[in-house]
Amino acid sequence: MRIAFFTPLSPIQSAISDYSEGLALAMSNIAGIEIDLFIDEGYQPDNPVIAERFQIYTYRQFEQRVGDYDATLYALGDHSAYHGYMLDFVHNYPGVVILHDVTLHRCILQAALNRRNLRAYLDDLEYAYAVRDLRLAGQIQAGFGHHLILEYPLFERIVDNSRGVIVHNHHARSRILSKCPNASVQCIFSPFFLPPGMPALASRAQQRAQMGLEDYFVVGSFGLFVADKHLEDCLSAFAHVAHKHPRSKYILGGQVMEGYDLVGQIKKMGLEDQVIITGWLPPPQFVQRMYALDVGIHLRYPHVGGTPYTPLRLMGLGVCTIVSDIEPLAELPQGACIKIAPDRYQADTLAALLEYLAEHPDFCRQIGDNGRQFIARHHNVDQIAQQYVDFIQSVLS
Amino acid sequence: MDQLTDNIANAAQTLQEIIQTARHRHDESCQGMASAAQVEALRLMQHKAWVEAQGYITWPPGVGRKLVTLWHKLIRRALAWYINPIVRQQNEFNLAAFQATQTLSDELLELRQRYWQERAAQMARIDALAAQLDALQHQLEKDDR
Repeated sequence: MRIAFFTPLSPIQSAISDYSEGLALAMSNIAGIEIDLFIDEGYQPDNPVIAERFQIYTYRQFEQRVGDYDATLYALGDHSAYHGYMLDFVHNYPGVVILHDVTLHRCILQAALNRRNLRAYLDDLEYAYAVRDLRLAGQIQAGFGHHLILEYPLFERIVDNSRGVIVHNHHARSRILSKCPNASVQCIFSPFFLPPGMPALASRAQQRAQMGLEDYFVVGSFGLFVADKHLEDCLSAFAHVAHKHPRSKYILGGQVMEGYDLVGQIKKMGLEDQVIITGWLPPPQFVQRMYALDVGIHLRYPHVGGTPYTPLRLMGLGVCTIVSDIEPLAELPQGACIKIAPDRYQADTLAALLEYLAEHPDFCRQIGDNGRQFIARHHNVDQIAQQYVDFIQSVLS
Repeated sequence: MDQLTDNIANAAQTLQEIIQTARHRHDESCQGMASAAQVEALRLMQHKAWVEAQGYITWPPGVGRKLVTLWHKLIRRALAWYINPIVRQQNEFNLAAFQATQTLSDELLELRQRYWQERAAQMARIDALAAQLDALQHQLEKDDR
């Protein structure tokens, strides 16, 4: 079976690039599966393993090659700069869509704005909800529309037009089926893998020694830093622990969103010497830093229904991981990671947990080990790649 | 139960204790302030209270799927005489339940505030009595000498 896979790739700064590279590689290892990758214009994929292993085309080359493929696979998320180029193809060449987020409203709206074609956006709104109202767009563009993108997720036309939809948690599946009961929606868990081409990891102690962090209690958060990640609570909890355990460090591995004064917050808390901000790094370097942690924190609330990938990677690496207790992470059991409710107790709970973990390294290691084993059992990349192939074959037949 | 399940369950139990203790400490330090979680829960309840009997059904592409959708729409219309009164009744109940919950929540908040005021007053009395006891003890020791 030949598959055309539309996806962003590194160096695009999105977890979906990283995800798709690992998935494509694992799927292409299955006998009888050939994959070509179709990306947006304007960049060159920089992962040498991916560049060597796959034929990579820009989306404009798809139409002349369409007859070569048995199936098309689209990795869609709610970001028009990374996924906007796929929208026409999803409709014109129906295939299987991997919905990484359970709303596409911002992606579709921004793509329509970029093309100066708001009629397409209004048509989608009318199709899904029988409304044609640009005030919705205004509120969302102004940043006051989080509840609106959930109430009007705008995936209906894409889901109805697709031959199948893959999501990563049962909550997302039920959300989609509640809007599109006729759709063929499969829940396939996210696979755990190390970024393709990454050198084998040294031992944790060696990794920490390389970073000058021996004998430190190391906490970290990774990804795109937005207000929804509750970093103020994370840092205030860390400040509480650092006061008692001065040999503590907090690694912030990722990019701070524009308009979010994280550096100011850190200074206000007096944590300049204990917080390391790395900026955005290629996936292998991210993983090396993740591996050096004692505790990884990935809070997220409110969420848009997708399963965040960072906690799964942290757990797979054997790092004790703290996450928000939200529906998309319902499949992870308390004890394989640490789940805390996103409520008014969050900061104090986090402080108590960090203090306990700093003072009980055996318990911290036990949680990390539970997480690693859980991920190895339920998120095995080869098994999951096979599930993808089986689902694509089932919708094709 | 295998070893991993066992380990996860044991860790979960320890975590539960840490989390409960932290929440309890937080409540003690907040002393009856209006709860953001409570307000959020009520807001959500109000938002979800209204059930729509006639949600919009999209027309998916393809003749077969359009026929299935048409069938859904016809069935829905045919059953409206039966469904709509139930939904109306459900909405009335939801509204009543929301109002009752809001009243209880207000009363709970008031009780909580009174409890913390009362507790503070009792603590002050205990401190005063303890000081008096200390003074008396001191006086007794002085008299003995």
